[in-house]
Amino acid sequence: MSPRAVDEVYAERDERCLRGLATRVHFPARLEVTRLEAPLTALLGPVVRGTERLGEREVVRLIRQFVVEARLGERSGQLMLHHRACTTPESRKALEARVISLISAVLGEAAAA
Amino acid sequence: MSARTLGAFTPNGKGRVALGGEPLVFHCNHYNYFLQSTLLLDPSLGMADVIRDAATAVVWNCLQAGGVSDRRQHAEAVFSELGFGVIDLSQLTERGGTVVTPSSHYGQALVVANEGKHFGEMQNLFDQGYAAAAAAYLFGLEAGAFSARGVSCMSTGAARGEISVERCATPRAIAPSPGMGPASAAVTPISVPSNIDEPAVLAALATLDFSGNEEGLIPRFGVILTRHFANFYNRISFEFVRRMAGSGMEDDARALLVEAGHRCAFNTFGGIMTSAEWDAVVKPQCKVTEDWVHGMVAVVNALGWGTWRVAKLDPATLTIAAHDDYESMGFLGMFGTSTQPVAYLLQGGVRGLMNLVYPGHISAGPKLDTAYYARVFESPECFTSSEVQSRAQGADCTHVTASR
Repeated sequence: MSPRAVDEVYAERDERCLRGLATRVHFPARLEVTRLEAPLTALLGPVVRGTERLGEREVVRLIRQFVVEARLGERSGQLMLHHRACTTPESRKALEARVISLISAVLGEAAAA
Repeated sequence: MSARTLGAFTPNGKGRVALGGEPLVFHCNHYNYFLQSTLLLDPSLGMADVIRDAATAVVWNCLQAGGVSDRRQHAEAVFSELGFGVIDLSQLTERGGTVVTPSSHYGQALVVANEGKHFGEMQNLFDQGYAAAAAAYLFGLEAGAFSARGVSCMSTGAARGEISVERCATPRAIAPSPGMGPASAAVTPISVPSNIDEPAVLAALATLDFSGNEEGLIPRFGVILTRHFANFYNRISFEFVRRMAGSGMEDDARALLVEAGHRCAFNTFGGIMTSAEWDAVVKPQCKVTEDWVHGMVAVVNALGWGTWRVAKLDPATLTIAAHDDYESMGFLGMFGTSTQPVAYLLQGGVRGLMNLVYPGHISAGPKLDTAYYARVFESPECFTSSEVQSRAQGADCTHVTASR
């Protein structure tokens, strides 16, 4: 993983309306979200997968019950994490760190390929 | 989410939807927080009991009409589907018992709206009223057969909500819900042209999942939604104004209810207009600033609030003709013709919409924080609104004008 790849991936937590229950993870738009679905599924563990159509976009919803809903494809270069209310701030931050690390790794692999 | 047995959702063709005969409206945790905080400001008004009983009335009505055979599963499913959380009714008997809420909109999402701070008083009054109604429904009794009180609530820091339900020696009188209220005139067609294809917006929104997740919560548009009972809001709002009568502060009470709607617009409309859903469905159609107003009006028409039509729009004025607005329809059903306008949420919402679009430049994607709210929504230059025609006073529809 290149240092540049690490810098390009970061989390923006919604501290106003949702007080940390939602986090937008930013990454370079050149990384297609379809490349993230499989590793993210492996990271989250047993998930319920669903899809939703937003205009021209197809959003993939990966729901790990009582933990998080990850939404892929809402916007280019972004992944939304909707943390469940029963989780703790510490567990949310830990999950965000793991997701950032995962995306950075995928980005690094893409750059190396 | 999982298949829940709920009964049928019934649209009325005028922008409202009922479940078990009870009209439903989407509102967010910020509105629920501000409205409830307003109503509970003066404990001597006794509004906590009003809130509980208003919940009991609508929930009992809704469940009774559901036509579902497994009553406990039905009552638990409706609570979760509509975004109130998770409710466990398994310990209830004909004498009462303890009801548990492992998650709760009023227990948790109001804390979120309260800047993450816990409350000194339990906020799960709706849940308590729901539990009393569910108990009556489970055992085939009238709405006032049980009373309920909070034992613990997540809003005060408890790990879960607990509600004590007791059978009343004599059933309490519960003011009935009017359901959908009286029939009204047909909705007029869109008359002010724009670049927004409202039927396309409504069709796109209709495909989205607005049901409660496995925690029974609905995080959407950057807020936590409930698909709530319109007549719950109506009863508690109208009763608040009634109890303030003669205090010399009746106008202040009305203004506070309008302010609740104004805050609703800031949080819910603001959240919607900065959401991925908006970016994908509505924003591509927005060619000029006015389209942002028309686009939001199209989305409002999916919220169950009635049907809004733009009657006049320029940068200084917006007039909305609201057909079947839920406040007026509720008032007519509860009390008959009003001597005063009653669409408080509508007034605040129309004002807030204009504040977001014009002085607030929502199209530029501002950060919707407290500084923004103070700068735009509390500025002397911001829009004000008035209800110039009221369905509750006998007009065909309600007209609200925002201007500055």
